[in-house]
Amino acid sequence: MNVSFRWLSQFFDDGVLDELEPAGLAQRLADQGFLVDELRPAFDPFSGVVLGKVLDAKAHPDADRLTLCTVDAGDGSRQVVCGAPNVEVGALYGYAQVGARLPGGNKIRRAKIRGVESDGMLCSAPELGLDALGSAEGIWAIPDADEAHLGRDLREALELDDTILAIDVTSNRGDALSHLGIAREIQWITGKKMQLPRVDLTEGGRAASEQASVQVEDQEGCSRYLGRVINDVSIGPSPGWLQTRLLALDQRPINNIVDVTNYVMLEVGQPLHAFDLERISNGQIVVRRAREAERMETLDGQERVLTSETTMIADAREAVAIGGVMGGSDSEVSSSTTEIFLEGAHFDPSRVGRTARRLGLVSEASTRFSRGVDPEITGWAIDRAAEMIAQLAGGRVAPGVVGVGANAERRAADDGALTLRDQRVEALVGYAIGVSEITRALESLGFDAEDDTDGALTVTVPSWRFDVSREVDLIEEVARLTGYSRIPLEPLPAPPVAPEPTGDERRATRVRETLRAAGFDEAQTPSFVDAATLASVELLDNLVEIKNPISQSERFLRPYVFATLGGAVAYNLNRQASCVKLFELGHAFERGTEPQGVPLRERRQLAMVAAGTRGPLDWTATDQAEYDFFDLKGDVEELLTQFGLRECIVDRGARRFLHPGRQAEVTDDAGNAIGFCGELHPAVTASWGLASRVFVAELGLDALPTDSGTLTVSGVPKEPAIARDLALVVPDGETARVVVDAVRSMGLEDLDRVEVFDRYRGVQVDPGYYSLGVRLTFRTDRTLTDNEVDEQVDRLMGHLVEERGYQRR
Amino acid sequence: MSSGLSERLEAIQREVARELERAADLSEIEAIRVRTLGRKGLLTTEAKSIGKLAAEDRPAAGDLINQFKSELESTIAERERALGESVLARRLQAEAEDVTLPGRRRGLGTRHPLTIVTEDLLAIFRRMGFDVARGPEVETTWYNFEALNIPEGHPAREEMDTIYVSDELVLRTHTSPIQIRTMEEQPPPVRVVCPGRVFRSDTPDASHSPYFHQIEGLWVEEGIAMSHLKWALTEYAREFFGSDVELRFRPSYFPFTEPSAELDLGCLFCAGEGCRVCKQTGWLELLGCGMVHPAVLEGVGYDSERYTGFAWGIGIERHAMLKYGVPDIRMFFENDLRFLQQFVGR
Ligand SMILES: [Zn+2]
Repeated sequence: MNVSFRWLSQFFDDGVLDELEPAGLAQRLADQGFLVDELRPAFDPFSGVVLGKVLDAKAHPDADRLTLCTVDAGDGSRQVVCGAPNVEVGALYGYAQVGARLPGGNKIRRAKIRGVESDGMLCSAPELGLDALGSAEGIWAIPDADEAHLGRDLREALELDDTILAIDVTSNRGDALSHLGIAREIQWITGKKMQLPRVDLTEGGRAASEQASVQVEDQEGCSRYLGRVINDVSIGPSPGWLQTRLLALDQRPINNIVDVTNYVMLEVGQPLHAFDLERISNGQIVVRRAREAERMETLDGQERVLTSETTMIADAREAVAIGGVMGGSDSEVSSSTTEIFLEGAHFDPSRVGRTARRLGLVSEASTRFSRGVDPEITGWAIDRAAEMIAQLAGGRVAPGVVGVGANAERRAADDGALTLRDQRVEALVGYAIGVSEITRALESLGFDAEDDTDGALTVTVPSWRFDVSREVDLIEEVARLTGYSRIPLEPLPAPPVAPEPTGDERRATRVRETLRAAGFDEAQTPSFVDAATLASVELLDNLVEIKNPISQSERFLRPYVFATLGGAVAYNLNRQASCVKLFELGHAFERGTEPQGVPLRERRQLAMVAAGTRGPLDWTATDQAEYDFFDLKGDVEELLTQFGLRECIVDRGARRFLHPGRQAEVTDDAGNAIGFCGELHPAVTASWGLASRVFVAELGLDALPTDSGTLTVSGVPKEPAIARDLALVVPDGETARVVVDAVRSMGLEDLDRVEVFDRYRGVQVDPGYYSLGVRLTFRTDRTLTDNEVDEQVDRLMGHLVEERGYQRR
Repeated sequence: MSSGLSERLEAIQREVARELERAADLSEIEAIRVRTLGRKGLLTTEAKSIGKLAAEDRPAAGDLINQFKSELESTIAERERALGESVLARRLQAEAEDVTLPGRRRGLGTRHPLTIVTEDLLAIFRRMGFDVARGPEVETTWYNFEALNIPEGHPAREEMDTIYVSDELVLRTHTSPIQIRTMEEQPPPVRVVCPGRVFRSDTPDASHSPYFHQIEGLWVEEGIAMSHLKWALTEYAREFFGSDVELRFRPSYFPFTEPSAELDLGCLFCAGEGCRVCKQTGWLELLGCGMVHPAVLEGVGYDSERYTGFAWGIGIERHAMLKYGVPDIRMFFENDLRFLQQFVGR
């Protein structure tokens, strides 16, 4: 909410706010809960420009396009050469005297233009920094300027010297979306009472009730609807001071009727709407719910489709406005309008809010209605506006008000006064605030507080404070006015047991430490993923779709974390990174399967994605080794080992987004699937625009134990071990795991360990076979002899040859 | 004593000395030792010949041979030691490396800056006595809104820029639902901080991201007042940003707290003078906080007359941006290695 310091000052006796100055006021408002985001001058600075009248204009002797103007600036006439095509004898202009400085720093000098002396310059609106008030093509005739003020500094005449405070009004304080609302808050700061301007309405002519009628059918949507009629107006531009005041507050001046309604809204927060009464059939206003899918054209020229939630303003024939949101184009005030119907109403906040958002028509009016408008101000506001219209547009206010809800019901909370206990204030705030200060604070805001002698106050809430409904709301009012800076610091009581990191946290820390040591950087990637990425990895089942995505393409929640982490790897590869190893701990989503059960399943996942070289540039290696499947498997195995999971990467999987021959499933101790690791399918990397091989692993984080359990160490063997290396020739397709299991399953009595040390395919082995080097380590609690070991190896080989068809190479 | 033994032994000694002089490696020295002192060596032969001497000459001859034998042994050993030393010296010299060449490294990964900040903050709050709780990112509208005193039609709810999965499910707009879940599960006192990812329907720019991270805190117990809130948040801000920071508690509004406050930090970049970062105000908005609204406590069945508490919510990205001077929130989610790697060792 932007407010004018000058306008605020007018709510107080002269000079009351000047002592504070805008910066001081901003500081105090912030301390009170109204943060001022910005303080800025209302208009760009300029000087030396006065109100001047053109007495005479004639053509320049040597230039067709130039005019020689005689200008009176209150102290005799002078000659000014003007290049604008629209000089009007008798009109008043901004006259920049010699020595004047215009916005942007241009200084006006005495000049000879085509041989004729020019004593200053007549200004266009943009030359004065008032772009919205006139074009750069012509000079700006100041509307309704007072001839008595000739020679007066234009900044004073138009009240341009002002400071705008951009105030951050919290969403509960609809009452503060006006100069009146802010002025009420300032009463505490100044200790002085503010005053609304006096309204002296002169009525005359035919009674309003003879010209218009109001019927409210939708009483839920509209608790109060008041109207005034103003006859015989002349539509035209508003006077300069009004235009500049609106402009300073980011309202574009339209005409003297619409500008007044906007002015009163900014003044007291009541949105008003002016209709052309002659365009309202029979002068008959009906407030009703819209019919489902009812259509109407709003004054921005758009056709709107409505729902029954919307409150419509209609005449005898058709809808003329969307209540609280926007008027219709048919009943709009136009340059030929002479009869005005002025609406002041109170619409249901949430229905206006929803309608405005649904139609994308969030406006100054709808924002105020949706946050709440003081129902008691409506009558004052239409009187004020009618008076101003009569003054500015030369109209006559018809006697009387037409409408419904003149004595609008006050809300229950307003009637039922609240009780405020001073010891409850102390309990919540943390220090004692005296009853007299509490009372003074509340009364400065318009509350009525009475001491009822039981150590409690009976507080009546003013009509505009619909946000206050219980004791704690009053405590907040007291706390913020007396100042949060006064609240002391009180150490928290120590809990009986000092908190420790949870199992979840310890697990996450262990994952991060392990992967960092393995050279993986931690990433954070989006939770949303686009359809094209999902299509590339063929993950299209059970996707969770967002109803209102930020971008249409990224409208799914990621079903796996690698789906978005892959994007980060691609990002880095595309920026010449040679070794990219990333991991992420994040949530992944899928639709629940049971039709009646939980509609969505959320999993905490660990994803790892790697591509490029195995590590940093290594000068000791002849070739820079590329990260491959066994690097990934090793990294995953080391991670699993950290959690006590051994040999949990089992046989090949069948995931379509992975290389069919280079992927493996990961299980927990009990053999339940918990994830996978593998090389991304070349078709996927190609569709991601990548040339390198990419390796991915993803595990369910919850499958990893949070605690490592207890450990009892066994003794360290004292006897030496004897090792035997076997090169076994086995058929292709016989996996290493099968071979090792075959060796183990013999149950050789002294065999301690079986390890793979080599794999060979090539000319020394028959086609259809390969050689697997297996190291057997024998150890027992006595010293073994070579003979004992050889005997066991022979027995093993006999079995492997006989039962499995292996050969020893 | 037979004439000639002494001369022969001296001749052997001279010969050994000459040979040792010429020996180039330890194996030649070993050969000399075998030839002179070995079982079939020259001295052994001389010793065997003692039996041919007269009985009275034998002891003297034996002594002489033993004397020569021990002299030869020490001469050979001495030469052996010297040669060994020079061989080792040559080997060490040959093996010298250019130690300025890089070591063979695996590359060290790093925690994400958001993790670093989260863990730092959790540590601070844990020391104060807060436990840590987590919850789902997709929440019911009830936990995300109603339970937090944000009924349907509430302006704060309408303006929250919520991302919906269905009419009843949203991507949580804050981690406050975890606070509700925690209170539902246990009676007071409750002391918990809730970290996690949250979502708003914001178009990304330098200071907005549709997903970001928060830590929210809640402390509910008999006798808790705003003075405790001020103490706790002052402690945290000083620990995280430094003991000399300026702080300002300013009234604000949140539906789930009353009274509500915002905590401002004296601008770290201009010492309060006013600059571009603080929009010339000298203050940076740090977090929102307040006393838990009695309606929220009543909603989980707590007696709001007896129990009071405070809550707050911290934006992790904002803290990381302030602490490390990160200019654009999107950098956290681009994961450029040249950005991430700056945090190694943090
Ligand atoms: Zn600053």
